[in-house]
Amino acid sequence: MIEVVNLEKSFGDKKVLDGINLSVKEGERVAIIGTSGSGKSTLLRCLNCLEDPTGGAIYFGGENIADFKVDINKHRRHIGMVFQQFNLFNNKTVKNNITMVPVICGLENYRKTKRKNLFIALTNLFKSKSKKKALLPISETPAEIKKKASDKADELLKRIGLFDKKDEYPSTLSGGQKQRVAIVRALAMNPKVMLFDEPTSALDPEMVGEVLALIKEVANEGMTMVIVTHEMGFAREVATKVLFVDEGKIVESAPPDEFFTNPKSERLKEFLSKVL
Amino acid sequence: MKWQKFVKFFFTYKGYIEVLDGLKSTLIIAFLGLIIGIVIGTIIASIKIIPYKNFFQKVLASIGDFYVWLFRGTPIAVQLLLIYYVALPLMGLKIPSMIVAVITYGLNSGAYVSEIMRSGLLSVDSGQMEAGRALGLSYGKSMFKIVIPQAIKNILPTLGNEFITLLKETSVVSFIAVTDITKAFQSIAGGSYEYVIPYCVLALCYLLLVSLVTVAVKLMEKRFRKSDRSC
Ligand SMILES: Nc1ncnc2c1ncn2[C@@H]1O[C@H](COP(=O)(O)OP(=O)(O)OP(=O)(O)O)[C@@H](O)[C@H]1O
Ligand SMILES: [Mg+2]
Repeated sequence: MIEVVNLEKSFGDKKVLDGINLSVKEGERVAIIGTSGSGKSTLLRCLNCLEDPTGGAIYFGGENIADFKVDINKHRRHIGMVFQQFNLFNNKTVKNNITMVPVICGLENYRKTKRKNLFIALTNLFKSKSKKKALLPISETPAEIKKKASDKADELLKRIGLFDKKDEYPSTLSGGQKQRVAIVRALAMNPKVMLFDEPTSALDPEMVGEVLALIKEVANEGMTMVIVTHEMGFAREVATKVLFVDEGKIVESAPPDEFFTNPKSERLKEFLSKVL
Repeated sequence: MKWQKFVKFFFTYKGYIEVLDGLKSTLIIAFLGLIIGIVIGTIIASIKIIPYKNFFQKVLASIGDFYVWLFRGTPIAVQLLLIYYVALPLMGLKIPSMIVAVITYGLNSGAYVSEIMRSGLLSVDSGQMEAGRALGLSYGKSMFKIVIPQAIKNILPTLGNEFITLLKETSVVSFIAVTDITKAFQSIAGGSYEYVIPYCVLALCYLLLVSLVTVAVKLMEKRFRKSDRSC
C-alpha cells in the first residue's frame, strides 16, 4: 500500500530522517515509537507529503508521491490523517467538519465531468456522425452528493454517540469528543490508509480510553494504519508491526510480541526499560 | 434667522436631494471600496504568507510590497488626483468619476487591509490549514474555506475601524468631481452664505454614520463569536 524507499528529510542542514525504508501492506497496522525529537512525526507527515521529503521516494497508489509533479491532493484524499491537536475546523459545526471535504471533492468531480462533456459535445459538432463520442455519465447530481455526505456524517456521528452534538461548534466539545470527531472526519473520505500522530497525547487521562477504543474498532474493521504513539500497551495490542525510530533511522522493526519481549538493539532496550 | 436660512436652502430649494445623493455616493464609495480592499488585501496577504515561495510567487509578493508601499505612502487625495487627472488621461481612458473613486478607495484600502489580513491569517492556528491539506484540499481551497473565514472573524474589529476610516476619507472625493455628503453641504453653505449650521449638521451626519457602523460591527462580532467559546 505504501512503499517508502530511502526517505530523507532535512530542515535546513539538520537531517531529521536519514534513509528510511518501510513498507506498509494492506491491512497492516504499523506502530512507530521512539524518543522525543527522533523524527516520528516527521516520518508520518512525509507519508502524505505534509512535509516534502528532501530525498528518496514514497510509492502510493502506483505513483511516487514524493515527486512534486504528482497531484498530491488526489492521493491525500485516500490517506486519512489524525493529529495530536485534533485540528477540527473551528468555523464549521461538528457535522460540517465531516461533510465539508467530501462535498467539495464530489462537486469538483461533478464539475470536471460536466466540463469534459461540454468539450466532447463541442468537438462532436465538427465530427461525422459515426465518429461522435459519447458523453461521460454523470453519476451523481450536486443534491445527491450533499445528501450522501450528510447521511454518512449522521451515521458516523451516531456511531460515536455524538449525533446530538452535530450542530455544535468544536469549541464546545471535550478533547476526547474532538478527537473522535476528527477520526470519523477522516473516515468519511473512505481512506485506504490512516495516519495517526500521537492521537491521545493532548488528552486528559480519563479521555484516552474512548479514543483508543474507537481506533481499535476501526482497526478491527481491517483499516490499514500507521500510528505514532507513546501508549506502549496500545501499540502492543493493536499493531501488527512495531518500529523503533531513533535519530532519523528505523533501528528496529518487529511484530509486537517480539519487539517488546525480545528487543535486539541496546537503544531500544534502554528506551523500553524507561517507558515500561 | 440662521435656522430659517438653512431650512430654506435645505427644504424649499431642495438641498436635501443633493444631500441624499451625496450620502448615497459616500456610502457606495466606502462600502465598495472596502469590499475591493478586502479582496485585494486578502490576495496579497495569502501570497505573502506562503512559507516557501517559488519564483512566480516571489515576484507576486514583491509586486504586493511595492503596491502597499505606494498606496500607504501617499495621501488618498493625491491618489485621486493622480489617477483621475494624470494616469487615466495618459492611458487615454475616460471613466466616470464615481467609478474612479470606488476603484481608488478600493486600491487605497487594499494596502491597509493586506496588512490587517496578514496578521489575521497568521492568527489562525497552522493546524487548520494542515487539516485541510491532509484531507486533500488545495492550498487555495483550504485558505478560502477554512483559514480566511477564521481570520476575518479575528480581525473584524480592525476591519470595522478600516471601514470607519474609509468612510471619513471619502470626504475628499469631491477633488475629482464626485458629490459626496461633504460636497452637498458645502454647496448648501456656499449658496446661503451661512456656514455654522450646514457644517455642524454635516459633522453630526458623520458621527451618526460612524456610530451605526460601530454598532453593526459589535453585532457581527457577537454573531461570529458563537463558534468561538474558548478553543
Ligand atoms: N518545521 C520544522 N523546522 C525545523 N525543524 C523541525 C521542524 N519540524 C521538526 N523539526 C525538528 O525535527 C526533529 C524531529 O522532529 P519530530 O517532530 O519528527 O520528532 P518526534 O519524534 O515526533 O518527537 P515528539 O515525540 O516530541 O513528537 C526535531 O529535532 C525537531 O526540532
Ligand atoms: Mg511528534
